[in-house]
Amino acid sequence: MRCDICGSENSYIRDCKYTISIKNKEVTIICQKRFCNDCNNEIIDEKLEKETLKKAEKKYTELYGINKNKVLELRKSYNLSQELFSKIIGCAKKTLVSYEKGTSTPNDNYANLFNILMYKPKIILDLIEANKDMYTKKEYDTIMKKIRFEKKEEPVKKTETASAAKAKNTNARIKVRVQKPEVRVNNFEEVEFGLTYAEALNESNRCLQCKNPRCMKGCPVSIRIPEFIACIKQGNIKKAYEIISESSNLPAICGRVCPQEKQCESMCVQGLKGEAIAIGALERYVADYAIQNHLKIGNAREKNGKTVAIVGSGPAGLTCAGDLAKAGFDVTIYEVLHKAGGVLTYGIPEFRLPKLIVESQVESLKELGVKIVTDTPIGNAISLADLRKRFDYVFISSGAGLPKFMGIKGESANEVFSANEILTRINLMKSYQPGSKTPIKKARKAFVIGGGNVAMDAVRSLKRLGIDAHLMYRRSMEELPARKVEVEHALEEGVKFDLLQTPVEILTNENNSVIGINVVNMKLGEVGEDGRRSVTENPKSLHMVKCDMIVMALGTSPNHEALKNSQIVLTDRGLIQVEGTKTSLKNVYAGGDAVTGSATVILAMEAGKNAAKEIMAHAKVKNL
Amino acid sequence: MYKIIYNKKLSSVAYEMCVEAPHVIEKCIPGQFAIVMAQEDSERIPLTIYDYDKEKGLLYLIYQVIGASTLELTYAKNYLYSVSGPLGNANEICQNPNSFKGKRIVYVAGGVGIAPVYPQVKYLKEKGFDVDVVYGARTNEMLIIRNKLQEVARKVFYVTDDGSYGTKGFVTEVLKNRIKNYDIVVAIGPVIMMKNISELTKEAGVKTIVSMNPLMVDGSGMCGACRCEVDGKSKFACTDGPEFDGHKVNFDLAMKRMNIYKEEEKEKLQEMEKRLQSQNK
Repeated sequence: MRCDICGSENSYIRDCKYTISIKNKEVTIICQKRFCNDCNNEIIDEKLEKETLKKAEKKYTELYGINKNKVLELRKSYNLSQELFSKIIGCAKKTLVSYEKGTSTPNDNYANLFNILMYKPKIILDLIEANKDMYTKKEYDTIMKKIRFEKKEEPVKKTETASAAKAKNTNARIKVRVQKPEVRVNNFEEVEFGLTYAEALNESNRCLQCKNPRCMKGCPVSIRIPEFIACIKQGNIKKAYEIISESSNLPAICGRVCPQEKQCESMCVQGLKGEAIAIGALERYVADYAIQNHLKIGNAREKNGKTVAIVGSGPAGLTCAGDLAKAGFDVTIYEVLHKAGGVLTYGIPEFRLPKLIVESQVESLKELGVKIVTDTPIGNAISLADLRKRFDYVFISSGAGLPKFMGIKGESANEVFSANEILTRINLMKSYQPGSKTPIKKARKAFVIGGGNVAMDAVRSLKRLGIDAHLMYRRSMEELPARKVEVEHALEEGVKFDLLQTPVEILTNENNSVIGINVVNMKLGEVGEDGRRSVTENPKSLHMVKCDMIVMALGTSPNHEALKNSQIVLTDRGLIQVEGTKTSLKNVYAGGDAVTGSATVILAMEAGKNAAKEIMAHAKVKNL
Repeated sequence: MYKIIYNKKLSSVAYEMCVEAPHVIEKCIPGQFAIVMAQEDSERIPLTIYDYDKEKGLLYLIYQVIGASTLELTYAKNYLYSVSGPLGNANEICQNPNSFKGKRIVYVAGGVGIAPVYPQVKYLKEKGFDVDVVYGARTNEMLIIRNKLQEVARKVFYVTDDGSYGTKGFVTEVLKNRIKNYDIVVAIGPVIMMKNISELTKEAGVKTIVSMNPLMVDGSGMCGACRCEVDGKSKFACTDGPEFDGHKVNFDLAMKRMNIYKEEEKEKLQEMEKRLQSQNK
């Protein structure tokens, strides 16, 4: 077979992980593909393509399809006669089709329905209630008797009236389905599943549609949350996506990695007495729907002739690029690595944020006309001064890449890594995959030092590599800065938490290999000026723990390689000094971790958004 | 994708590759390096920029086959997936030639260490310096690019372990006899050679610059894999170096840190050999 790029006749076949969209559902399979031996271009091999498609369809049927056995199993679980069961399905299907207003194919409704019946018997009751007139009284009574029987586990409290109990029940927050811990600890696939249509619908119905929505105040990019949830209620997911994408260029990412419990969900009125709406899960549902249906994140306006260079393709840079491109700017993003996305690509692991999602969000920006130049270190390949000459505006979002170390004895040992290195090897270089070309160190027992989200990512990645992974943090469980759900997931996966401890020395053998650490226990004190409880070492508690790998996840600070030889003003802490997002240099803006030190994805996005606003204001281009 | 102009064998261990990468060489100064990837799933390999043609946008690299990824690189024919750079800092002298006017400079190269040495000697020649080169390798056939080197250096002293060309012995011995003639030594090659040279020049009190080549992943100061101990402090070879004061580098530690992935790399090499064999069938 001939390569159509270089014309070479040599080709080879290798196994690829490949995601195909079938009937709006993504199916990931391992399939064989043919590649050019010389330029590694993929060559379309029709025979292999056919096989791939067959495989994918098979997987689809496995995952979403409804076969006789499944139906039989379900019917048995409800103990209903076949006749009655098909009638329920028939009626429910009709209802769902009318809900969906033709936004997806009937077949999907069927799959959705099946999911409902599997996981949410309560909804069946609602559906049957809604179609009451279609059943005879005898049928209706039989169904109610049988299904009520299923619900025996939740006895109604005597003090509550039946209607109050019902209201309480419908007000329970959706529990996002996850991969079972014992399964996911052996793979790198996403932990949380997306909501089904019915789940999203049910959850959106809990939203009170407050006139003065507090949730929006909790969102750094002010997504119009009640409005998009209202659209889900109406079954208009496309409209919901349009509303979200007006505020956020990367919704599929935010829905997955934002600390919602500290932001929008913390403000939700429902959360005051009961449980907040699962805003993050709903956002993800809408964004994933958009990716599956290839919806655009908006249209770019006519070019306004102004050019912008963006340094770094992380969340701040991508957000700024999206907003400016929509407003008609000619945007070029420079990235030093070979793939765009910054921390989204090299830092956050596959099981929390699949790289296919990042790639599709980057692609959607490219569709807006954003140019992305990889492999180019600003500061070395092009100086900041040159960028300023070539472009009207520059936005610096170079992040905080420089890993911190503790400065304790033995830190130069061979198996002491920064969390950045471990995560880069795993996420960017894919060293967790068998046959990967970049190695990752093997170990039996590893300690990850730190308690933030990066520490969680590192320790959970190591656990998945089959290492006895421990997290060592100097404060207690309550003070862990990581997202709560990540801590819960880590615990479920069997990560061991060694709290109120800190290493004071790393012990090595004659080959400079780690053999253990000396650890002291810590004592919590009063809350200090920074709002965190102080800690003191207890020197008497010094003890040795054996291990053969240490990972430092102590935070990062900006490295200003991009600013080499520039006169830009930095603060005492070595961060770029800004007013709003303006730096000391004319028409140069900055935001994200390069300005704040290591923080969260959403804060970086907020900074990117603000910079875009300021650039538009300066260029006298109207905001959207 | 970056177009490969050629990828040829220079000796039993060294290869030279010429690739179109105008963004890398537009601003580069000798001493800096690039990171290349053969394919999308390849390892990132740091390689010194050995020569460049700014008009044509061509980047020349010399590499030695030491493991799976460099072996894979020898099979690259038409395109490289990624060429990123220039990374790291330029050589101190090349960066600021004026402040070194009148200094007597000697370069010491061991094996493919000649790759970073050659562009510096060439660059300094253009700036009006006449520098000497002591160039050692295991045997005659491993002394590569001799003709090019002779065009730019004032004098080249060849040394081979087996005496098949030039003086028989080690570069340290040759330098030891001539050390009085020089004010600055730049030594680039295997860590053990740089260590021996630095010990020699420390005794003689001659300023010495060495270029470290530790393990690296991103090359942009993000991962810390390339940590070296310099003057008791931890430095990143990618962003603080790659060149350091030879009298302050902890070479013993650097040598031990080269072995971090020794076992894993053996496995990867076997995997790669199998893969390449099956491809060639």
